[in-house]
Amino acid sequence: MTEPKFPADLRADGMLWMGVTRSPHASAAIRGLDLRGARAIPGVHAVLSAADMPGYNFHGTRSIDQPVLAADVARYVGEPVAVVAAEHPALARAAAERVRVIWDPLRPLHDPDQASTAPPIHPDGNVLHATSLVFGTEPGALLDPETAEVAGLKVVEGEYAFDAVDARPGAPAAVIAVPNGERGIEIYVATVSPRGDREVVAQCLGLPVEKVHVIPTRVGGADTHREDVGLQVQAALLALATGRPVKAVVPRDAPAHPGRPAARLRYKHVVADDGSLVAVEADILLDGGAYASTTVDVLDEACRLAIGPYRVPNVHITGRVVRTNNPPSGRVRGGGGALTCAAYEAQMDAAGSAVGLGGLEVRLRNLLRPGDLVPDAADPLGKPAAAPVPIPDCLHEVLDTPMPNFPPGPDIREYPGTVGRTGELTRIRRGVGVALGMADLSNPAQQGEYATAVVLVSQTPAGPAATVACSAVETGSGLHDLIRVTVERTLGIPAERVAVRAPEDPGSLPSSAAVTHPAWVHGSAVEAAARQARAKLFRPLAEHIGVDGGLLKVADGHLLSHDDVFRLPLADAYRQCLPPGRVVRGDGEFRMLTMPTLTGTSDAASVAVGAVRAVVDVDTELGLANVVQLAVAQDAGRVVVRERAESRVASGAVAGSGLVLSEGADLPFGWGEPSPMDSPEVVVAALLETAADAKDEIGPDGLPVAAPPLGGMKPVGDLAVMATPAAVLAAIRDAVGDPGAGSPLRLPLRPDRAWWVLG
Amino acid sequence: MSEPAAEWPTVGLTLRVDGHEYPVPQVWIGDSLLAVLRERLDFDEPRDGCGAGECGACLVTVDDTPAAACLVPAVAAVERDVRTPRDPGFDAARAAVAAAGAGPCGFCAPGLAVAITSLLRRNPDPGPAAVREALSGVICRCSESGHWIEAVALAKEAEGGAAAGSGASPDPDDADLVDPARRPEAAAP
Amino acid sequence: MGPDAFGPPGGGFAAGGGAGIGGALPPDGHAVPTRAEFGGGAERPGFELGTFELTDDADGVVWAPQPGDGDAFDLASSGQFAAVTRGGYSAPAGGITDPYRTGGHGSGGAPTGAVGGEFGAGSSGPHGSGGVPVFGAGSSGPHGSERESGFGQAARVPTQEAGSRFAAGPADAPMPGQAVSQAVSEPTPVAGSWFATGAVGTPVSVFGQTAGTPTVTAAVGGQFAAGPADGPVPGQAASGAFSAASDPAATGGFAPAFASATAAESASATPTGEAFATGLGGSAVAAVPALFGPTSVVEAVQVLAARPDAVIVAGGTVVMPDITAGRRHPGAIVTLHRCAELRGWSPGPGEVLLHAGLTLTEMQRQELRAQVPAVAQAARTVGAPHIRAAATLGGNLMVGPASADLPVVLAALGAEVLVASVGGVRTVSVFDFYDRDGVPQLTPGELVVGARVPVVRGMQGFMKIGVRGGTSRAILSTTLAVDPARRSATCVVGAMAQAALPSGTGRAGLPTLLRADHADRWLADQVDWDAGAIPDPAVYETFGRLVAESLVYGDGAGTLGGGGDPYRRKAAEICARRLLLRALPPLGWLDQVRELQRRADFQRAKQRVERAEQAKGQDQ
Repeated sequence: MTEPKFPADLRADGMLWMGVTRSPHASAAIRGLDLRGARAIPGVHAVLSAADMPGYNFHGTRSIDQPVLAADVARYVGEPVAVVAAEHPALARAAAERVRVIWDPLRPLHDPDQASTAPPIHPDGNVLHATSLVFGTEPGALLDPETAEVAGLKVVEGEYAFDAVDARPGAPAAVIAVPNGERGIEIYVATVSPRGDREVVAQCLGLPVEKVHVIPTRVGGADTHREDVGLQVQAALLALATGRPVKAVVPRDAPAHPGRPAARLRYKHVVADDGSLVAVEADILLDGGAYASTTVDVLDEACRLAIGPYRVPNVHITGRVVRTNNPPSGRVRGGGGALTCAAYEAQMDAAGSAVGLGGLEVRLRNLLRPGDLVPDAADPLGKPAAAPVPIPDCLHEVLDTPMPNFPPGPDIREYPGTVGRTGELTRIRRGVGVALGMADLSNPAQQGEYATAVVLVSQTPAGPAATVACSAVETGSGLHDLIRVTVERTLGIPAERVAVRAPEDPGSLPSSAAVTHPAWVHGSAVEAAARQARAKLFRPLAEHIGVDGGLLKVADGHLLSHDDVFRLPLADAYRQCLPPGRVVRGDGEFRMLTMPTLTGTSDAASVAVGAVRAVVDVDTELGLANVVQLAVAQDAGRVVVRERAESRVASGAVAGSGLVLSEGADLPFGWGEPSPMDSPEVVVAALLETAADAKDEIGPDGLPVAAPPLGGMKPVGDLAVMATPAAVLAAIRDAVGDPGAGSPLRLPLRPDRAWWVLG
Repeated sequence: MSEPAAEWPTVGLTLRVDGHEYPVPQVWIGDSLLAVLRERLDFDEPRDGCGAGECGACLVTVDDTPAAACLVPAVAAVERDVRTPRDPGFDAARAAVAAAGAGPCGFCAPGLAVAITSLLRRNPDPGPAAVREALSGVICRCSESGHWIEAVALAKEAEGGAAAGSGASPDPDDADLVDPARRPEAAAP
Repeated sequence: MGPDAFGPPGGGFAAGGGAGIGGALPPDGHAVPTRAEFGGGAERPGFELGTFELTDDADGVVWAPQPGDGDAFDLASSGQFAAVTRGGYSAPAGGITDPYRTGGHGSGGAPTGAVGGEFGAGSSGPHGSGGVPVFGAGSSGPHGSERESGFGQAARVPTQEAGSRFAAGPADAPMPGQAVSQAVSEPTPVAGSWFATGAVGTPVSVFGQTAGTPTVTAAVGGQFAAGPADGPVPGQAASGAFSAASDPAATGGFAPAFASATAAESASATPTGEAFATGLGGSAVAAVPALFGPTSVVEAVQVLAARPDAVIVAGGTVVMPDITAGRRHPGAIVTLHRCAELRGWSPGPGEVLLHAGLTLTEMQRQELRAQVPAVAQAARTVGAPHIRAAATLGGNLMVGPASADLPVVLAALGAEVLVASVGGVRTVSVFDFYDRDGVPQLTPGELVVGARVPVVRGMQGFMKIGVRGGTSRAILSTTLAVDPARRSATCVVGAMAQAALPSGTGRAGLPTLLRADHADRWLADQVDWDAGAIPDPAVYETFGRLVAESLVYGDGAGTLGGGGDPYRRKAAEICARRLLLRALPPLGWLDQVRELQRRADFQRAKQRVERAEQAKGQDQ
C-alpha cells in the first residue's frame, strides 16, 4: 500500500540539502557577508544571500514585512541570512556556519511593554495592530474604582501573563523543490493553502505564477498552522540556482513555526452584590515577534472572546500586538481564545469570592443568552449572539461525569511527580475546577478563507460511486472521513465508494485557503458540490414531478422531494438517472463571507460554547500538579463523524493542559509537550447536536434556500484548547487557594512558579 | 577547522535491517542510523522527528532493544539486528494503533507501534501506569493517551494476552513503584 | 468555587476540600493520628506516608543488604532477616524496626517473591551459580545479547576471583610495559588487576572473563580484531577508510574499518599524502583512520592517546544530537559499544563496581537495585525507556550535574569515579570529579571506565522534581543516604534545570553538586542510631531547613540558596525532609502508615465498586 508521504520522506535523484545561516543576534545590522569560505567547500553547490533574490524579498500572511533572507538587518535569533545547497545535510550545515557575516549588534527589544515607545525596529513601526471594542451605557464611569465603590459595586482586578509557546508539530518543517525544465519549479510541502503559497513563491522568485507548482504533501500533527512560506522560497531559490532538487528539513530548535505569542492580559471586572456583572475592562497585549505573520488574527480573536460566554452590559476592550526582537509568533490551535479564557474564568472565580457567592453561582447568573451582545470587530457596538447557547446543558454533562478515584495510587506513578518519587499521600490535595469557553465562528480574520470542490458521480459495477476533487489535506483531524460521509449523506452513495483526490496541481481549481476551520470550509464546499451534482443528476425526475432539482433530497435510502410527497428508492432513482457512462459533475464553493447562512441569522454572531471540568491532584508543598481527568462537553451543532470529532476534542484538551502547565518556548528542562506519562484521561462528556434538522425550504422567489452547510456543524477543534487551561487553573486554586493579589499570574504554571509554594 | 577534505571521513558499512543485509558505501562517521536508514536506504519509517531522542518518532529496535535511531551512530549499528517499524514483527501493534485511532495523522504511529511491541515483549500484561511510562517517549500532537492505552490492549489481544490493563503480572522491575506501605497488610492474616 | 458544587454525587469525597484521605486528615493535610503522639499542633512536620519505604526493594529508600553475606539473604527470605539485620544494625528491643522489617519480609505473595528473589539475586548472583539464572533473566530483557555478555560476565566471576580482583582493586595499576606517569595517582602494580592480560590490541579483560563471552568472541573473530597484526596499513585504509580492514571475509567489504590504536599511530606516522579516498561531497579524505571500535579498555585508551580529538560515543544520547545539529563536528569517532568489559557491573566486598557502559535500564534491575537502590531510583527518572536503554553511566558522569541525575546519587553514596588512560587508572571522588561549574575534570586521552559505589546497609532515597511526570531534565534532584555503620547521613542536592536549554545549547546557570555537610553533621547527633529512628519529630523540619541553608554556593548566582532561586531553596528543604522521614522514621511511625494506607485502600475499593455499579446502571 502506498500511503501519502510527509515532505521529509520525499527524495529525488541528485538531491541536494539545504543549510541555513541564521542570525545569532536578536537584533543586529549586517555590515558584510563573505560567502567564499562556504563556496570553497567541496560538495557545496550554491551559497546564496538576499542579494541573489531574483524577485521580491518579502512575504507575510497579513502584512508583507518578513524578508525571505535578511538583507540589511536581522531582527530575531535564528533569522535566515544565507542558504546553502550541499551533498549532505551535515555538509550543508557546516557550510552554512562557514558563511562569514559581519554583524553590528544593536540593542534588542524583547519586552513588549516597551515596544510602542521604543524606537521602531522595522520600517513599518512597532505596533502591528491595535483594536478597541467598546459598548454599553457608561463603561468608563463604572470602571472607575471610586465610582464603583460609591455605587456599592465590587471591582475585581487581575493580571495574567503567558509565555510564548513554540509551535511544535510532530512532523518537522520540510520542503523539497524540484526544477522541472519548461514546467518551471515544483515545490512539495506540507501546506493547506497551496494556492496562496504559490503566488507568494512566484513573486519572490520573480517567476510567472504558472511556472510555480506548489504540491501539498501529507501534513502531520493535526494542525493546519504550518511553517512560514519563506522556507519554500529558499529551497526553490537553491533548486533554480543549482538545477538540482533541493531538500530542506528545518531542525526542531530553529524558529521556523510561528508559535503562540507571549501575552499580557489586564482585567477589571465590576460586579454587583447580587453577582451580576456590571462592566468588564480588558487590556490585551500580544508579542507578535519580529514580523506580523498571523498574530493580528490572534489579537482580533482574543479581543472578541475577551469576556467569555457572559452577559455584560458595559464592555471596554483594548488590544495591541507589537513587534519585538523575539521570533515571529502566529496562530496555533486555540488561537486567542486560549489566552483570554484562562484570564476571564479566573476573574469570574475572583468575582465569585468577592461577592461571596462562589464562582459557579456568579457564572450562572451571567450566562450569555441568545440575543445578548457579544464583542464583534465588524460592529463596534457588539452583535447579538445567535441561538443556541446551550451552556447549562454542557455544565450538566461535565458535572455528571464520574469522578476518578481518590486517593491515587498505590502506584507512585499516579501521584504528582510520578517516578520523581516526591509523591506523598498526605501532601496530595485534589481540586476540581470548571471553566466555560466560547468560540466565535464569524471571525473576520478568517473571512478570506474559502474552498472549492468538484464531485463526479458515475456508475460502477458496484453501484454509483463518487470522486471528490478538492485540496482538503488530511492532517490527522479526520477531514477526509468527514468529506466522504458528507457525500454519502447528500448523494446516498456509501462512503466506501467515495474517493477523495487531492488535485495534482492546485494551480487549477479546486483550491482553497482554509487554515482555521478546514473541516468546516472544505466540508461545506464539498457538500455544495454534492448538492449541485444531486440536482443535475436527478433533474429528469424533478422535472417529472415538476419541482426544481435542488429541492430533491436523500434520506433513509430514498430520494425525496422537499415536502416528502415524492418518494423513490435511491436504487431506482440511480438506475433511472445514471446510465453507465454518464458522469455528472457538481461544482461547489464555500467562503467564510457567507457566514450568516451557517445559522440562518444574518446579523447575529454565531458562537459555539462548551464546558470543561478538570480534576487535578496537587502536591501542596512542591507545586507539582497532576491533571487526573478532563471532562469536556461542547456545542458541536451537528456531529458528522463522531469518533473523529471526539478524538479532536480530546487532543485539544491535552494540548490545553500542556499549554497551562508545562509548555513554553524557553523551557530550561527539556520539552514541555504532554507525554502519555503526564497527559490526563479525557472524557468527552457530550458533543451536543444543537442544529435544527437541515431542511431545504422554498424561498419567496420559488427557488430553494439551502439549509446550513453540514447540517449546521460547528468546528470542534479549538474550544477544548481554549477552556482546558482555565479549568485546570480553577482546579489548582480549588486545591491550594488563590494566588496573592497584585502579582501577575505567570503561565505556564511550572513548579517553580507555584504561588502556593513560594507564598 | 583544518582543510575541508579531512573533515568528512566516511566509511562503508553493511547494515542488517529487517533481516536483510544492506551494504552502504561512504557513510559519514557522524551519520546517525536514522539518517542512513532514511536517506540512503529509503526507509520512510522510522520518521525524522526531533533528532534529539525526545519525540520517539524514529523508534526502531537494535538487538531487540527499543532505540531512537537518531541517537544511534550508523557505524555502531553494524553487525547488529536492526528492525524498523516495517518489520512484520510490529504488524500486530501497527494494526492495533490504527484500529484504536491512536496517532491519527500517522506521523508518530510507527514509533508508537515499536514502543508498544517492546513493552508487551517485556511485560505481557502491563497496567495503565506501566503503559503510560513505557509510551512516555513518544510524543503525539493529535491524539490522547486514552487511545494509546486502548491500542496496547488491542495489541495484547492480538498476541493472545490477558484482559487489558489488569496489570495482573507486574513487571518485577516495577516493584519499587508500588506503594510499599500496602505490603504489611498483604502479609497480615 | 467550592468543589462540592461541582463534585457529582459520589465524587464528594474526592472533591471534599481536596483534603487528604477522607476524614482521616484535616484540610491542612496532616495525619490526625500523628498529632497526639507528637504533641499535636499543625506546625509539626507533616508525616508523609504514601510512598513509604520498606526493607526490601521498595520505594523511596531501601534497606540495602550487605552483599557477600549470602546467608543473611537466605535467612531473610525465611523470615529471620530482621534478626540478622539487627545484628548489623543493632536495633533495639521493641522499636518499630522489628515489625517494620519483618513486615517487609513477611509480606506474602508477590512481595515475598520479589523480596526473596531479589535478595537471592543480590546475594548469590555475584557469588555463585545461583546468580546465573537471575542474570540470565536480566539478559533476556530488552538489551538482548548485549546484556548477556554484560551480566553473563559478572555472573561467571567466581567469588574468589571477584574478591581478589577487587582486593587488587580497579585502582591505580599501571599498564604492563608502560612507564608509570606521575600524573596519575600513585599506582600499585598488582597481578590480576585491570590490564593483567593487556597485550596490546587483543581484547583485554577488565573484570575477568569478559573476553570469553559470545559477543566479544564474535567481535574478535570478525574483521574487528583490530590488533596491530591486521590493523589497516595506510594503503588499505585508503581504499578506503571504508574497506573492511584487510579481512576479505568481512561483510561485503563494507564493514567499517574500525582502526586499532596502533593503526592510528602507524597511519599518522606514515605520510598519508598518497593514500586518498573520497569523503563527503567528493572531497579527498586523508586516509587517517577516523573510526575506532576498541574491544578493550586498553585499546580504547590507546586510541584516545593517539587521537585526543576523537569523539567518544557510547549510548549516543548526548553526543548524537550535538553531531546531528552540528554543534559538534567529529574528526574521529570512538565507539565503545564493542568494549565488552565496559558493560554491566561487578560485585565486590562492601561495594559494587558499575562499569561505564552500564545502561540506566540495567541499573533498574532488581539484583543491582538490592545493592544500591538510590541508583536504580535515579535511573528510572531519566527520560523515556528507549533513552534509558541506551544511556550509560559513563555518559551520565561525563554530562555531569548539568543535565544528569546520577552524579547526585553517586556523590551522596560516596562513590569514586575510575578514570583510565595509557598511564593507568586513577580514582577520584565524584565531588572532585567536577569543577564548581559541574564540568567533569578530565585530561585529554582519559576515559571514564566506571564507578565504585560503596554498598551501605542504611536507607537511601532519591527525589527529583521535573516536568513531564518527572522524566524530563530535573529542576531539582536530591539524594539522602544513611550509613548506620558509620552513624552518618549524607544529603546531596543537584540544581540542574538551568543547565541546558531544550536544544542542549549553552548554559544559563551554575549547575553543580551541592552538599549539606553542616546539616549532615547536625543530623548525625539527632539520630538514635541504636533504635534506627529519630526521637524528636521536630528534627525533620529542622533538617530540611538546614539543608536548604547550607546550599549557598560560590556567589550563588543561579544556584541554590543564592537568594535568586527561592523555589529550589524551598523544594530542597521539603525534599530533604521527606527523604529523612522515609529513611529514619520516628518511633511508632509504621502503625500510622499502615492505618492510613488501609483507609486509602478502602476508599479505592469502595470507589471501584461504586464505579462498577454506576456502569451497570448505565447499561440498563
